[in-house]
Amino acid sequence: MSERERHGRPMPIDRFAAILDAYGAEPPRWPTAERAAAQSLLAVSPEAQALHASAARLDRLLTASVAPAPSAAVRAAILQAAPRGIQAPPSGAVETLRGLWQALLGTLTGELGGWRPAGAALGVALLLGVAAGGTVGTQSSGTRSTTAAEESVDFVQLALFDDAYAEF
Amino acid sequence: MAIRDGNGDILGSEPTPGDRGQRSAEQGGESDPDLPLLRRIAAGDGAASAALVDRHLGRIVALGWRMLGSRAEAEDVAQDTFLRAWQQAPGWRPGGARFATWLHRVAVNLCLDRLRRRREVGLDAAGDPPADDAHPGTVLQQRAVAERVDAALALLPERQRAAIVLCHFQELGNVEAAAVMEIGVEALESLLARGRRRLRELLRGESADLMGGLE
Repeated sequence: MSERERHGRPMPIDRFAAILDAYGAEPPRWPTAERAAAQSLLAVSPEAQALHASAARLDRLLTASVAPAPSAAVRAAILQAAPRGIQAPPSGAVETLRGLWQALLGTLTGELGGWRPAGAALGVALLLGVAAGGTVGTQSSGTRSTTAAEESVDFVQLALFDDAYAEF
Repeated sequence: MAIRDGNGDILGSEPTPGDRGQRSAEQGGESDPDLPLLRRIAAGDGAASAALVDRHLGRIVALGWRMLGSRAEAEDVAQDTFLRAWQQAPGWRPGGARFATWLHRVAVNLCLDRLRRRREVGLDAAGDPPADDAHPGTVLQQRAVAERVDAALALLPERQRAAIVLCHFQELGNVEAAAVMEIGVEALESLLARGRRRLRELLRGESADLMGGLE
């Protein structure tokens, strides 16, 4: 029987019992399409009322179970792993790197007659060299395993404002 | 784009309308209440991430706790669930499941995986031991009731327990709970009925005493 056919007809007591067995005694938990018919039956049928009272007792027992609240630690750990946009670098670092980048580009493109792609590539290579040189001897004793090349790429990404989530 | 759950499966068809029933059965798409937050998260908005966590974390931990009986494991499941959510958030597209439905489905699957592993290594339920701190009067009685109910819940077969946790405790509508469990509504009803019948049997002998504890 479709929901449309079921609508407006008295609900058989067997179906009412099945609804209580599955969903309990609270009407908001009952299937929407059958709720009105079930409530109508409940209002007039002593048998339905007895079944309903039994289901309500189990519901009431289940209500005694109270789950613990999440700890602050798990909330913090989850948020620590949340996606982030471009991270704000230390104050002044961006301007310094941007200035260095622009100065390099300006010098190279001026000297190379405006051949910007080649100039930019050369600039990247120079930055990598400078950054790699600056990190030699400082990473070996640290706890991070980051290589000089990775560190250099970070610098270049920062200078170019690469979006770390562009690949998503 | 297909939305996939934690196991890489495509999340199935969407709920149809129905009040709690209806509320929970909303299609995803633009009506998904989490969609504005997901868009902000994709843009790297940390406040939106915190808002999403505050909206759902308590319910996911509660689900895990009732499925696994352990707060520590429940929090592990919640953490894994949100890690997967963070992976999905930047590419989330409306039109499939509601985000909350997807989140529940990932959490339920993670719980079932853990229960499966427990079986494989022959572990009994790894629930938290009952607290032994003293509580006076009614509080003590209520705690006793809660512990007996939780113990009975833990004795249910896993899928019956999942159905009852989703419908009774998480208050999902029947269509949404069925979608989370990837079953039809009739199959869900069967699991619910068998689960509630078993709970009634387990608690029958203690019913009067338990009810007294709740009065």
